[in-house]
Amino acid sequence: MTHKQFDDEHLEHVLHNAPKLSDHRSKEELLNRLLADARLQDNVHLQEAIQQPIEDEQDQQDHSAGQEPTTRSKLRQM
Amino acid sequence: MNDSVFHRLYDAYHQDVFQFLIYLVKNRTLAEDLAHEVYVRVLRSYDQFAGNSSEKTWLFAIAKNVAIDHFRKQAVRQKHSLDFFDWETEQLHSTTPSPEDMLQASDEFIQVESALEKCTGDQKMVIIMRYFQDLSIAETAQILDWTEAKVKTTQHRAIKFLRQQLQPIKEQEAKRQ
Repeated sequence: MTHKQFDDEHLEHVLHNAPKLSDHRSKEELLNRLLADARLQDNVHLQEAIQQPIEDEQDQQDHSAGQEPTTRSKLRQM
Repeated sequence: MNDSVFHRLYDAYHQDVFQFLIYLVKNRTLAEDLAHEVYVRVLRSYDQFAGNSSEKTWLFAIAKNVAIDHFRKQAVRQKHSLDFFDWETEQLHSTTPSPEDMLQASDEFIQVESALEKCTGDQKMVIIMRYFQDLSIAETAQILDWTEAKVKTTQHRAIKFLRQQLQPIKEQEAKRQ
């Protein structure tokens, strides 16, 4: 068998080294799209996803004044 | 730090799920749409997640179902009929990948990807899960709701089929040199 032949080992090597294809969008972009989806209106898990950063950032604001908090409306503007 | 379902699953698995989808459909915009659909189903059904499997295999099972639903709808649109789409025997016809995505691939990998398009749907799914996503046989079996033996058999047949498809190409290349 020459090096030009596709044996199972070589094939598995090529398959294991498939290029990594990533999603270039930000998490905020994904969240905004979910917020705009009518099927998720009042979904408790989506509410949690957008509420907690507000609380976190408000905590941070206690330590650093003047920082703009992340809000649902701000998320939608991104 | 936000430990809600969305943030936790996104941080742990988003890029893996996206890669699984983009290799299945080979179209970035479509993979983005399907990833959105995955999150819609996840957020709507998370309360029914019983914890019988890991969150990872549960998430991939949803992604697999979203992808199969897409291919079924596509098949219906193309055939203009309501024939049942059998993903275990039919091919999953994906579209051409974007030039940006193709740039990352070696000539050899492009040949493999092209041969993968000729596999049956279940073979393609197993190859993507086992090799591109590095999922174990047990994880793949859970996601597909198969036995581990079926995963192994399908993987073996897929590798054999791919080798048969690729061997003549390699022989032609060798003759030209």
